[in-house]
Amino acid sequence: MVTARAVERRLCVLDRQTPTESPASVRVGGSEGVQVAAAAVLRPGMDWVVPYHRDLALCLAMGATPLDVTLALLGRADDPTSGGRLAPGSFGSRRARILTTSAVIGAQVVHAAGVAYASRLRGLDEVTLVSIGERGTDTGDWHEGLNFAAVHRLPLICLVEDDSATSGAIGPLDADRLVARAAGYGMAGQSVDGSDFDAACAVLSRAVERARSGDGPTLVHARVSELRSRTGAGAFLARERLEALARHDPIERMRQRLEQEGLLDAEADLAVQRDCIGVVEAALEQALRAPLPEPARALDNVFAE
Amino acid sequence: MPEMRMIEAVRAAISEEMERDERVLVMGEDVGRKGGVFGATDGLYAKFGEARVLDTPLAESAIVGVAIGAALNGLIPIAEIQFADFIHPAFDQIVSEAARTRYRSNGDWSVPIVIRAPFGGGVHGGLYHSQSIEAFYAHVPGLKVVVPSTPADAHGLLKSAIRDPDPVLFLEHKKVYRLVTEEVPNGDHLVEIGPAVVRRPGTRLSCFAWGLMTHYCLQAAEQLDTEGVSVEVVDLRTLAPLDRETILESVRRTGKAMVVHEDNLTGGFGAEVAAIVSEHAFDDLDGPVVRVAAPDIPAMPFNSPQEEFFMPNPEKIADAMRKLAAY
Repeated sequence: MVTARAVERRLCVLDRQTPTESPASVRVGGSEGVQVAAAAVLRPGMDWVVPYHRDLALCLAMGATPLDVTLALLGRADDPTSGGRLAPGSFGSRRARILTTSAVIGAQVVHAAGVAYASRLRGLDEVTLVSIGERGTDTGDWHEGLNFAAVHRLPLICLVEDDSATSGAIGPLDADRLVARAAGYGMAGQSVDGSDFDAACAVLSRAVERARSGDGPTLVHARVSELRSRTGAGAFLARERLEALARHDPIERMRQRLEQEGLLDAEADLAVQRDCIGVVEAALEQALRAPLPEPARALDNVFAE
Repeated sequence: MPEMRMIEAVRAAISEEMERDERVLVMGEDVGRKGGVFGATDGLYAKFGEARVLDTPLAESAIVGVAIGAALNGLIPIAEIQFADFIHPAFDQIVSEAARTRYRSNGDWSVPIVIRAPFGGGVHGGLYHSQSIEAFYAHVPGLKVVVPSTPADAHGLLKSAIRDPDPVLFLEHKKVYRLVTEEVPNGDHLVEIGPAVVRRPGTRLSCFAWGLMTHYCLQAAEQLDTEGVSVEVVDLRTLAPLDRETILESVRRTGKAMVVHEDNLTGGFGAEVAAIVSEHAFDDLDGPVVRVAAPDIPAMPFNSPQEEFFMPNPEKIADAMRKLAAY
């Protein structure tokens, strides 16, 4: 969580410092809790993750390294996701079983159903988790993917990361109606506070159990808050609004919990923050020194060579 | 060397590849218990079971998208689109996803799927069971587009497509399914994806076609032969990658080129063939590059007079050949 937040913040600074460079930014702040919870209940490298473009924390927790993601965000030649081809936000790795994804929202849901179908056919005890933002549930592919998974009772979890309460362009999503759709497909569905790591872990681990025991897919709706200091129009948020948002910061909530349980004090907290920032800083320095792709290499990998 | 029609050759190729490699599976609407609307997968359900001969929901984007996901997790899916006319909801999955996966992952991932789709008209299918869709897809780098016109080619090319590490769109002309019978080589005889084949050698003009139009061009060439005009007919077989060398070599010998397709004229694949010929064999040309194609109307009407009006046929093609030969 802290590493992902550090990547987001560091890139934001970089973007302001070097406006002539290709824009490299990523948004994850507020969603780290449920993303890291998902990784905690899955087996990295064995189970499959089909992320969407705000799943930085999920991808880091599943095995992508800070260097992997900074190379991708800066479009460098050695970017393991795409060799600098995909715009910032996509992270994929065959080694880590993080699927390559496009920017077409919804398309990944049917892929996830296919991955899960293959696990079943091959007799493998694998679970697939696909994630999507709340408006992705409007798409045809979202429906087609869940319908397919439900018809075949596939070992699939569809995680909807819903920040519409804080950033919804067309207003908040009606969570009850979304979760009710799961029943329509004949699958389990549940809503959870995505900024609460423990609550998210509990819901997601039940979904994993369901998948492993052959009881089919689960729709998990996670309420998250987009943590930001400005409105869409650029004005700074009022102090009260910022304080309200901070109460939904999954890192802050985790810190408070650990402090209450006597597992963390101010000094240790600072050390964690410092360590994570240090790792990200080192990765970013290395990525900034890494070469950009050669122009003619744009011709590579159209077909098998 | 059994004799087969194209529908049986397709079925045999799928069955042989499923026997050879347990990663191969078939999925689509009614491909299982029913055996496919044209019978291409007839008997496979009983032979290989429902998990490998999978009846899917009626949702083309999911048929292709699920095939992509299954391929990313180690399977080799053959996705059937019941009619090429219904492939359009899967356009995004084919173009933005399947064809781009290797490229966008810089070679980390690949999508070894085959998308089979019966296409073409002349069977009173009307606007939505007659379309030729090859031009949309032959435009897309990262996707191979194969259009066999004979049983032996369908068999050998489909086996190559299943073994190909990249996505292949395999278009089967529904009127050719039961049009001709020929000997099909047994077992592991593959036909390479890419090379075109000269079906009939000739000297006065070169005629390029694929699918049903290959047969119509051969009939027209037969007629022209009785009139003393020798026409070469080249079956392109694969539109992407395209065998430019065979096209150019033929035109350099005959000095005249025509392309025939039942897709409508404007932006059809014939335009690409014409462009290649004019760009690279201009000095050898002894006449304009001619396209024989359907008129630019939205699709093929159901009623007989208008269906005939829409489709190129041996008579229309022979007329065009006579004019070009006399140029």
